[in-house]
Amino acid sequence: MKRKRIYLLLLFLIIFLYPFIDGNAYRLYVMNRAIIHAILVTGIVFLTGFAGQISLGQAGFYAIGAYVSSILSVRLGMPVVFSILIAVLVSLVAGLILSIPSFKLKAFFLSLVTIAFGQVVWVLLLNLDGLTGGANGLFSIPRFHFGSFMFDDAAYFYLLAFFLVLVIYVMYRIKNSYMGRSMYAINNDIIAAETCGINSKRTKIFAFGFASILAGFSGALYAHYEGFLTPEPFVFFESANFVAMAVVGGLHHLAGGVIGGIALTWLPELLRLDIAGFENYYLLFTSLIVILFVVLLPKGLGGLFSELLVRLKERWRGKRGTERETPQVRKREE
Amino acid sequence: MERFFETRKLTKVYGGLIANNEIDLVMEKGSVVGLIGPNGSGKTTFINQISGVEPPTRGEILLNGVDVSAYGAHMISTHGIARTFQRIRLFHNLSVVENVLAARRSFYTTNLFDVIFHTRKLKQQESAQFDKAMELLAMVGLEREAHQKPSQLPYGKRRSLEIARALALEPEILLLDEPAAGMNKDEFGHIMNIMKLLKEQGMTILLVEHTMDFIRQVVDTVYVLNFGSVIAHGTFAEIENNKDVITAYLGDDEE
Repeated sequence: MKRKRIYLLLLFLIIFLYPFIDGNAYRLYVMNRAIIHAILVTGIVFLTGFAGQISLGQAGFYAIGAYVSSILSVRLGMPVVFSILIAVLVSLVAGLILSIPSFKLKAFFLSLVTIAFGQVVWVLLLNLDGLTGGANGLFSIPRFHFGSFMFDDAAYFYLLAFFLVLVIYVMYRIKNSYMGRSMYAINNDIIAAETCGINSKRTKIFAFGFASILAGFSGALYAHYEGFLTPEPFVFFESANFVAMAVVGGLHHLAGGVIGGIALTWLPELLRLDIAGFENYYLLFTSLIVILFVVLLPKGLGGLFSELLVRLKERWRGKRGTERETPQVRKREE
Repeated sequence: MERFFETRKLTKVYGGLIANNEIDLVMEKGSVVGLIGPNGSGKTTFINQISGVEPPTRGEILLNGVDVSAYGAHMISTHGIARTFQRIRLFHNLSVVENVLAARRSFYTTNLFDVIFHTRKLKQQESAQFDKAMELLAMVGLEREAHQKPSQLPYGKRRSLEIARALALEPEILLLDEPAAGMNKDEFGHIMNIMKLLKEQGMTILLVEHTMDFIRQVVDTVYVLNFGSVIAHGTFAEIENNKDVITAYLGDDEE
């Protein structure tokens, strides 16, 4: 228990110190983008890893969050905090609607419906010129501010990190409660889950709702960070990329979204560097690395880290000559 | 006169195939009813219908006089009918005790707020449900394996776990679909003991089984299905000598 707290403290310290240690504006910018991705991908881990529902249309929610908040703040002059809230609500409603086909459809067919959803949103972005600015996009979107306090890159980093920690905490609580068990149950065997008194429809609605809230929220956070929007980052490729992040990070891991989101945001940036020499082929290599991950590490980086941690602990304990405490014994004493 | 449980003309049609043809089946409270018949005679279809897994084509399912045939599986299971499966269906990502806890979902009165803020109400309910789940595991002899994954359990214990999970719903009626299938002698004895214990506790059980030895020892009445219809019912001794039953089974399944 105490050791856990020390880990947490260390984590917070790293988060706190990151902008100080690394003053580079470009890297801070990439890191902020990475955390925004991490928030969204955490939603995919929730939806796909826990509840077993596939969505290849998360960029659609990302777009809804970004555009609704931007339109409200640019065209109606709404304060950013409120526009984000409304954007998240709109995204949630879209998510609840998209959960309806999941009642009947499974894996492959459901993914087709969600792809279609993403495409519909994208086409709307392009063609509702009056609202979205069409292919030209939206400009001079106000930066995130709270009252008169403007968030610069470093301040935004703290804000994003705070939201990410909050999201992970909520997910941790849900995972370790009866709600998490219900989600795993419908994931593993939906018929058995239903005969155990679990309302699979309600559980799916909940999972889709949660994931769409996170996607919409991260979209809004992106819009008010970047300052301009074009339809380009909301294409189907991005949806697929988000799912790839979740898979690389670990679909069944609480931190899967964080690890995958950050890793796959950085990877193309690293490959783009001159020293790496892949600047022309970085997308090719990124895809290759993702494929390798999926094949060689189905549990993702999150699973790999957990396993390494357990092994290290075992070795360390072994050296001290104490017997490893089994979880069974611990649980029964509680 | 209201009966505890009965089906009236329960029928299931798949395309041109009549899987269950107007089945009338009655169970008294606290009785153990056997459902036998050759392969493909519609036993599992019948169980699927009364557990809500498949909606009936026609007919009624009456529990305490209420027609539950339109309920979905999750409604029926929380209204008093729990089941196990012929092919074991456990939640492989959850531990043994969590499998049982999953079936306690409907006993929680907390909401998302309680979950996120980890309120005292939630902690109390989680620990109460945990105790209940452990109690059920102890009853089927699985308390030592509580924190293992179902895949680590031997076959017979998985069966026991599925029964414990069904009992976690605190059902009025338990539907067991071939609980002794594929078991060795020890495992068979263990399941038999669980059955007898449940019978003592007054549980109403509908038992689909091929092992005649098992049926003979535990049931009060037996229904025999063939080609989707009930061809005989009565005590085991009665149906054992029934001509139709012998014909239906001839050269088949006298294990």
